[in-house]
Amino acid sequence: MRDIDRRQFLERAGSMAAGLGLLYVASTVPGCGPRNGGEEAGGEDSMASAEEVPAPREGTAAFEGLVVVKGADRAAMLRAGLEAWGGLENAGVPGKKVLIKVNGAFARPPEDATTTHPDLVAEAVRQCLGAGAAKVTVFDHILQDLPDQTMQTNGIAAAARSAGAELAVYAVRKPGAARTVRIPGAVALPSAGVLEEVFQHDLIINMPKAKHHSGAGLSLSMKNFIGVTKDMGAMHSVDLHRAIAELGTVVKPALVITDATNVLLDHGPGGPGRVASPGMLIIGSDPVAVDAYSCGLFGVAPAGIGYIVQGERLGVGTSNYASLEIKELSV
Amino acid sequence: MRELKIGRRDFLALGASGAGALLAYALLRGGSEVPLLRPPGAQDEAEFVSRCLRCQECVRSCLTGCLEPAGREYGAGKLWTPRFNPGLAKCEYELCGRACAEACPVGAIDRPPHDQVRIGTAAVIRSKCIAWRDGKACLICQERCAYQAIEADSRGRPRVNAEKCTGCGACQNTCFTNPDPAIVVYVPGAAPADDGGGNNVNRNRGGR
Amino acid sequence: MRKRKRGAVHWVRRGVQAAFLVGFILMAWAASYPPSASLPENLFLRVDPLAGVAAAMRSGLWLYLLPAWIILGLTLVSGRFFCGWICPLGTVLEMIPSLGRRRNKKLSQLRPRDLSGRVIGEGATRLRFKYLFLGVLLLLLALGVNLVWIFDPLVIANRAVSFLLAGSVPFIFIALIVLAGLVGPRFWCQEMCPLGAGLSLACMAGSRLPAGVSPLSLVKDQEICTHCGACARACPFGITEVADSGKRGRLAIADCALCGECVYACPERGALSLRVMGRRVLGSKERLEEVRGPEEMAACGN
Repeated sequence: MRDIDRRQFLERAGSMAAGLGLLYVASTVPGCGPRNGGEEAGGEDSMASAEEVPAPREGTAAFEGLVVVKGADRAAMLRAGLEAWGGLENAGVPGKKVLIKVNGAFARPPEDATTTHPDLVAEAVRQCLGAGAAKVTVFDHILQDLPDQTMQTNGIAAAARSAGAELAVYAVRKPGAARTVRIPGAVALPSAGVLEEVFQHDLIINMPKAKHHSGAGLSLSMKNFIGVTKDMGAMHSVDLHRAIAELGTVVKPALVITDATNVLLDHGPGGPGRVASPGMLIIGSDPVAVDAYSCGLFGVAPAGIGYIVQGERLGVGTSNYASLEIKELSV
Repeated sequence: MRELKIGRRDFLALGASGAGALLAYALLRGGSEVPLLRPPGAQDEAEFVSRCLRCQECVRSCLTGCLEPAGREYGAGKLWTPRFNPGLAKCEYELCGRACAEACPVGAIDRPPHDQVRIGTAAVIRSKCIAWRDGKACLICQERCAYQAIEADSRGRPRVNAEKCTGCGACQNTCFTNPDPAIVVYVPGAAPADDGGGNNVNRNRGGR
Repeated sequence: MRKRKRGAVHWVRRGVQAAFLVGFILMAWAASYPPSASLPENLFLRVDPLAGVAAAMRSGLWLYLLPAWIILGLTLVSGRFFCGWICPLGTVLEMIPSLGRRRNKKLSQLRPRDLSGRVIGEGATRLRFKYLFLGVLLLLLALGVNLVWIFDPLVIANRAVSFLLAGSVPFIFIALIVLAGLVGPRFWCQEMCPLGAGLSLACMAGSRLPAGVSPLSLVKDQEICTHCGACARACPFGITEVADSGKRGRLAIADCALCGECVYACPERGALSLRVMGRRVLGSKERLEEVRGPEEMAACGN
């Protein structure tokens, strides 16, 4: 070591330090970092007013009542049902970006009646595009870690893509960006974090699966709509049913198409359980009315479902569906 | 017999290792006898810890990203071994083809058949669960359970059926009770008999 | 200082080292779901005989670790080519500039010395730390205590890549780099590495095998060698046995990684050569007179 003079010593010490520094820098390069897991750290959500949430314009519903279609061929049922309702052109679809909120939360085949049937999803997409929609996105926000696999197993991914829609599915741990919407007068859900995906569209069509639900009694259209927010937890912590209803006051679908072609009678929402096949579609623009009608399939009175009662009280719709015009079809 | 001499370089090597060992011991002293949740097939703790190379291959190959290297708080003997953290993600052992077992170069992770996998057992901590404590309608844990291992009583309060529970962690991952989940996976055999107190150290620090 | 002329074998080795290093980093980086069916991401760890012994002792996976036994078998006939051509940690350590220098020392100054400073010469055996170390590790392993994971170079390197990608660097990696910088880049490889120690033992076990069966070997012609010590000064591992050894033919030196630097440095035509299955691929050549200055002529010799 006596051979080295000071200059060389400094050179070597310097290059060693540089090497270690490079190592440190390499470890902080973006892209390095925890690979998986944990909730994504979001920034502050931006605010949005209720008016900015995609909603149908007042009074644009083609038909104020319900259309109930019975049959076996799901695509044909949907076509007939939409025609009877007045056509998607009259729902404001032409030229608009449409978001179809399905229920795809479980990796089960469609026969298990836990998810919206893919045949219906495909036909709905085709109908929207046929009516002149600028873009159709099939959307869900699910209580799973593996949204892609889930949507493949339940058939919705293939159905959406084959019909020409885009697919936007979020895992509940990774909702992405959202905008905070204040809900005036709300006690259970003072503000909702509505996902950015929703704001990228002009209209929402709600396509729930009617089924038993352990926590809420039944999972119907209003329950399905929880997925447009990232507030799963907050909604349960005060009063779930009230929160669902309050959400319904600011996020309104242009149309509800409830899939009751086959329904899960127990062990919902994930099953497996007893499956019945009423072979029915219920279409309407009033979510409370559609849900109130759907209750009958399970032998439950609308007054027995908290969010239906609350929804009526908050003016989201009426549970007295008998007071509306009901068109019944068989296909 | 030839004379045995200790070289200077060997002395230096010994010194370097000794210094390193002392430093490591000082840094990693303590930690606990707490059994950690392990990947499916690695439940024999002593055997697993003695085979594991802490190479991180299993951690990186996991489908859902539910494994992480155990930190210093678990002691030097378990440092960097793979720990199953349900707060990160559920273990999807039926879907992943046992990627962790596949990735392990020393075969430290077994492959029990799907129906024999027992990563742990979940238990509800009643003092934290909003259904038990506040009478709220929730049951999100039951919604997510793929094994029908959570039963609700007439008042909508969840209870774990230990026979059916595989310890996959979906319930713990999804329970949103702040700051810690109200349903937690315990190491096999360690779940409190009548649902939780609050003293499960497998509740996660950082991550949920 | 005389510039050492570097030829093809040197650059081929550098290329091979770089390829394995890059390949190693890519495989460690690419380890994710799903595991690759064609090229397993854990291949480097399955190639590692130390990890292999650790695994097989506990889990009986002798056949799964066939790549490791192949490497061990090749080391038996060739020596520590793994260290000189393949090991990614070794490649990284070799790139560290070091405060220790030996280039201009006399051969006598390079020889291993005991604690009192006397050269360990004929009639004495150096008690080497790394063999004891390996023995202790294997004994503990048999008793159920696994410390191999701390000291196995491939495991260290694999972990380092994983942790770097997660935003931190494991302490031992930094410690090795500092040690390399202070003492000599391959000090770890020569004096501490337990995998290296195991490979050294394999090398010594096969030391009587001739060059003709060896895929890569260092051969010395005793008649031509003038014991000038240029080889020892050039050796990145600090091995003096090449100069000192009286053995004929293939030199199976415990620490030798078959890098070929000694052959490049040797000024006597044909004294040293690298051979593949006995056929010479690199031989020492005469140096042109004008390249060597008179003081360097005097520096050679004992």
